[in-house]
Amino acid sequence: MSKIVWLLILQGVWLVARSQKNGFKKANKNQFADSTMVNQWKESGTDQLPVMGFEENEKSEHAVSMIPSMLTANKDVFMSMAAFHFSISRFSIRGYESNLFSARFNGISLSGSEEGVPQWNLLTGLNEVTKNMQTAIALRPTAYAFGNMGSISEIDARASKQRVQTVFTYAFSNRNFTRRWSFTHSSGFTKKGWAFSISGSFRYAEEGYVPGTFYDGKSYFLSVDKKIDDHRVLSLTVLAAPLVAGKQGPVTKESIELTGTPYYNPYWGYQSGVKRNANIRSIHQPLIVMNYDHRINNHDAFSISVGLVLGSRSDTGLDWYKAADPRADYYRYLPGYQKDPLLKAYVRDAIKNNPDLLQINWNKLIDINRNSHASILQANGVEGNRISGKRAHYIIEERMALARRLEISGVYHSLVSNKYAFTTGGSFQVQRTHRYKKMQDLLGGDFYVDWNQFAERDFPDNPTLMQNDLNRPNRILHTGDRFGYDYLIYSMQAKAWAQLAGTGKKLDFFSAAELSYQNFQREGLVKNGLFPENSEGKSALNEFTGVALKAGITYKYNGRKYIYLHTGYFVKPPLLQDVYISPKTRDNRQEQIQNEKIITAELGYVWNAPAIRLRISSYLTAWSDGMNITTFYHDGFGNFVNYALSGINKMHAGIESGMDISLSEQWSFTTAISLARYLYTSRQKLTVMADNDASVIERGEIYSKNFRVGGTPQEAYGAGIAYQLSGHFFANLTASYFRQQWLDFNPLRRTYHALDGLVKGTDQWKQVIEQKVLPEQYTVDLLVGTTVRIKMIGSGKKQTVQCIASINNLFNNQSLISGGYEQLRFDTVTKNPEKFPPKFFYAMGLNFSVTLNLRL
Amino acid sequence: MNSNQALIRGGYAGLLGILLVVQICLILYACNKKFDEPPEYHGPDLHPTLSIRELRSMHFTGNFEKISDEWIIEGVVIADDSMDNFYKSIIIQDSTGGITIRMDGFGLYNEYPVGRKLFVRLKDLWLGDYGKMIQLGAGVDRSDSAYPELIGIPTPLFDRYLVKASLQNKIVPKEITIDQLHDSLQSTLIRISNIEFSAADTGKTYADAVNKLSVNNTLKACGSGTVYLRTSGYANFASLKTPRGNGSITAVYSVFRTEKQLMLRDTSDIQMSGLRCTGTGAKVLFSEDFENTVPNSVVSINSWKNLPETGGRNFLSKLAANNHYAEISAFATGQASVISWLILPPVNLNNSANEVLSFQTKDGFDNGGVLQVYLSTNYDGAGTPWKAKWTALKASISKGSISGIAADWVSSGNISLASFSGSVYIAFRYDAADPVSVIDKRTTSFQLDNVRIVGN
Repeated sequence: MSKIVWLLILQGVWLVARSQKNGFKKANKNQFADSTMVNQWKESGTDQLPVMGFEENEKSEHAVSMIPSMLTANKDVFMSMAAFHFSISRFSIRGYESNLFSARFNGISLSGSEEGVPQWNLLTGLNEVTKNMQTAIALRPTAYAFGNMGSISEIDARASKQRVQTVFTYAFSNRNFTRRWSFTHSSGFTKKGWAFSISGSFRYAEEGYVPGTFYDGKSYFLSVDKKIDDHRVLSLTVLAAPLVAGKQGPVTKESIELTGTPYYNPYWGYQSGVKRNANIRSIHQPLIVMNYDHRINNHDAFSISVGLVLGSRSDTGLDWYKAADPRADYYRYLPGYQKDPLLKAYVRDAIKNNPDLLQINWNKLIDINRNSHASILQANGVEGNRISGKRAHYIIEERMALARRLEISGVYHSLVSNKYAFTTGGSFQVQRTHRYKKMQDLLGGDFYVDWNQFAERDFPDNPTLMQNDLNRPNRILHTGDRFGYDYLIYSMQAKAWAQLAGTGKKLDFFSAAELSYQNFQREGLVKNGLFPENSEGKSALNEFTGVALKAGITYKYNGRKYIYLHTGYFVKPPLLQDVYISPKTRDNRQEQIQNEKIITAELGYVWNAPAIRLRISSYLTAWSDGMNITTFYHDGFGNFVNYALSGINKMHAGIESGMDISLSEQWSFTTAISLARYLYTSRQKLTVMADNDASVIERGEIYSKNFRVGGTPQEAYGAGIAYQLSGHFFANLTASYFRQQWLDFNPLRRTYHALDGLVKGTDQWKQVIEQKVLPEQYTVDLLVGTTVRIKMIGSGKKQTVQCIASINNLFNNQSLISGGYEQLRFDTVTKNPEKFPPKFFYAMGLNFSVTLNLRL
Repeated sequence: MNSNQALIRGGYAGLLGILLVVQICLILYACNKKFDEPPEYHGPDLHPTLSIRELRSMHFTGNFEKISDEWIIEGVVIADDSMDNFYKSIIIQDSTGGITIRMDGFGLYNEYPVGRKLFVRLKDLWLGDYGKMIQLGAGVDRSDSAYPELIGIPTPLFDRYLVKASLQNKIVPKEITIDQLHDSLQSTLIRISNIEFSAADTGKTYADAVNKLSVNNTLKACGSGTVYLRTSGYANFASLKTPRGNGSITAVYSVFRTEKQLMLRDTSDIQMSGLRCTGTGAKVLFSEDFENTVPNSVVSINSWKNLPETGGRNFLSKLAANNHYAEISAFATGQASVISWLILPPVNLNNSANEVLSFQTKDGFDNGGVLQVYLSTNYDGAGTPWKAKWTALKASISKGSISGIAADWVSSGNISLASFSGSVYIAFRYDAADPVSVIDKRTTSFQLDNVRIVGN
């Protein structure tokens, strides 16, 4: 705590010092222009979108709610620091989950109503053409949408809005990708009223920072604008960022100790001498947007956008049938599982002598498949049909999600008078997502069978229960076949909103309201043997209405200092993933479905002077009636269960502050602070259902009150010093420090039953229920940019090349945890939480990228 | 530049273009090649330094011996965990004997299936016994000092101790008789002929699959001698029923203290379809030819049930060509649904084997009415058989006589009841309808005669 106080005092001292030295107005317009340019440099020198490379299973996805670094909002010091330097710890602004942040591209939302999370990855690699972005933090009013609680970013990437230029970029780094090439050309409007812009990039790594990961990304972008007359512009934009990348798995402390590196990646293994990753993500989702902009007169304007998202996402993984777990870091394969000290040592020695024991043994899996001989009776459901051959025990499955989304949105903007602006708009979005598993590789086997092996184990005498598809029983699967689950989700969302903003001499105000209607529905394409009644066909329609209200006033002390108060109230419909218990197999829903209610308020002070920019905000946000569902293996019931939680209440309270002080024309000093507490404020209601028959096997409550919300540091401090020389050279050195980052907790361990047999207050008792906090962590980042003038070959013209080097984690701190979670498995017999210890992701050690930009 | 040159240049450009396309194709092809696969494994070149019998002789019952010499035994897997009857262990055998290897893993049969030849590097392994059954393990768990136990070989250490050799080696079970069972045969594959389950254990499940409990069923040889067949409740075949006949069994010999046990690899290792030791040929368990019924009255035989479910029709006794039989028809009832039951007295299948049901039928004016034969084990014998659970039996029943009564009796064929046990009910269920609409009429009449159950 003392450190925080010191930082606050430091800020205070600077404030006083600056305000007394009112004469510090040497900073001229040029410098401002330079700093803008420098900010642009920084953006192009930084890898956008740090969202890649994380495992999405279990609870880790909650942590990936960071804003991309291109969302720099150059005007806001705090946001800039959060985007560039805090993101390493998966810092999320105000602890908000990603569905509280919105992004729009040419008027079209980047989030589908099904997941509710902005898909920044649609824009990966298109840094150069997505720079024209405005971000409204928290509840601030915008001229184009109602906004969201965290922030809303509006990207205008239409051809005519692009800077007229041709840019070549080459970058190399040691991060997720090692090489990047990009090309961008924007024409501006021609005499005939046409404008076009094209951009493309390649990003590639044979092996990224983490062993066994690879990266193969391409991006393309094309935009054409046609000026119909002085009032009307029509635009068409097409883009996509196809990507294939090998993923990194989370690790336990034990596997780090064994391998000696936090970058141990259990997802790969050698196959005939080549590293092969079992968990590969592929994305190709093109986005097509049409815009019509109409300026009626100087006071009124409207625009209409139509957007279409197509394509697919997929993740591969190993599946296995009646065979040993192929995952190399399976807990039974590690020394910690052995109780006998000698055997523990033998296992440790075996692994130390042969580190490949901790990687996937592809050769063995293939060998087993090749030697497998089996006959399937009544194959493909045909009486008397017997199929014999090498039945695969290990396969690679590809979990597919094919989405189609159409959105139509419109905004009407009117200046009612000099004082009042009225904005209204609406959007309509329909989405269809098709999810299924695809057989990707039989690994040397001839076929696989479409059976649910857990049902086969539980009901050995009933050959119908284990059928994944009763309409096609005992289906023989070959490469490319769909299997397992196969279903569609239809979702629809309609929104209408209006906003009135007024400007007075001393007082500004705004108020806005949004009404939304949302529905979704599941349609099963297969009849699951366990759930013949409610797996196939369309489910009932789930319908919700939502309300969002916000209002704020700003008191302007003078042109540079002001105080504001913003409040908001949200009634948010639940997300599909929190309503359907297990949409892969059936349409069962949570017993009690409620809209989540959120109330929030923010009080802030802003001081914008040439020599200082400061914002301090204090906020309070309270959630009630949240829901969540997880599915995991429950050792007590010896089966997979669906853990449905409801009545989740939370409260986030904190202070965030950003300050930028110009010490001289060359030197400036920046600080950013986020000091907060994010707590669960209720005992969550629990319903446990068996995943194989949907029966309720337990009801209870989770003793979760005052547990911390995990996934993000609740305190983050950053301080940076910047030097710049007349726009030709700059250097930024920034140190960040994080604390109070808690692990997402496993609800199973905070129940009445979990403590059965434990004595209150003992170490084990504490170990089971106490939440873990990550150690305090720091990182230091350096960013340097300069320009070089070179002679072009041929023309002899001199051109300027920008060169930006970014070095993150300068001191190569390899114990920096970017995220972690308690495993959902818990040994209900021994009650030893270390049997399934927490898993972590580690941030990269020293990592760099060097970017060269040639602008013509 | 004249047009010729332009043509040539165009040609070069075209050629370059083609080369480029070819190169792109090559690259795309070369980059999308399938992953390399290793050649199939043919095994190491190792030699045993010890026979399994020699290894077994080093063990003293109740002790644990750590092996500190670099000995190697060789053996062929004779039982694995593919049917889950053997759990976390495999059993290997050489020409001198067999031994059980405790292994801490699942799906062992994928790597160590029956027929796989194995070399075991014995150094640092332990010999021990579980109720006198000699085993190999990787350590000793003394956490319960009263019952120390061998620890299975941890999965990451499999390759340290076990070296895989060729697959699909043939194992010929040793033909013996029950009284030849001896500790030297522990963990070996044996075959016993002229054997059957004791009468009390026929038609019972191999184990308790519901509660996952092991069960001992008694096997009896013709002449003398008994041995237990022990089956795990987790075995895939736990819920199958033991056969009633006599024959042979191939199994792994095992002991628990003084108890001799056989462990089955799979039910295909049992062939028991012959006559039981005491068998004197087929025995009639039940027979009814309706000769003692009163013609044109409701069939009423002691202990039989003749019950209409809907439509109020009973099976009637009829007489034609000096033959009595039972008959039913929905014709002219005017009922929307006619369902009637004719149920035999309970038959006990516990004291016999290979029971067979047979009967004869004739149909008349067939327009879709149905007669089916069912079996129930939970019918209480009361007046509402439709509330019990019935299993349809597959029988040939006369049909297709559209314009009159079938000329000849149709035999049902031999309907095996061997998979049932205890006291069972057999029922004939008639399902027909005589509604107003002609299209929906299903009024086929059926005649039934010579119901017999025979068994060994």
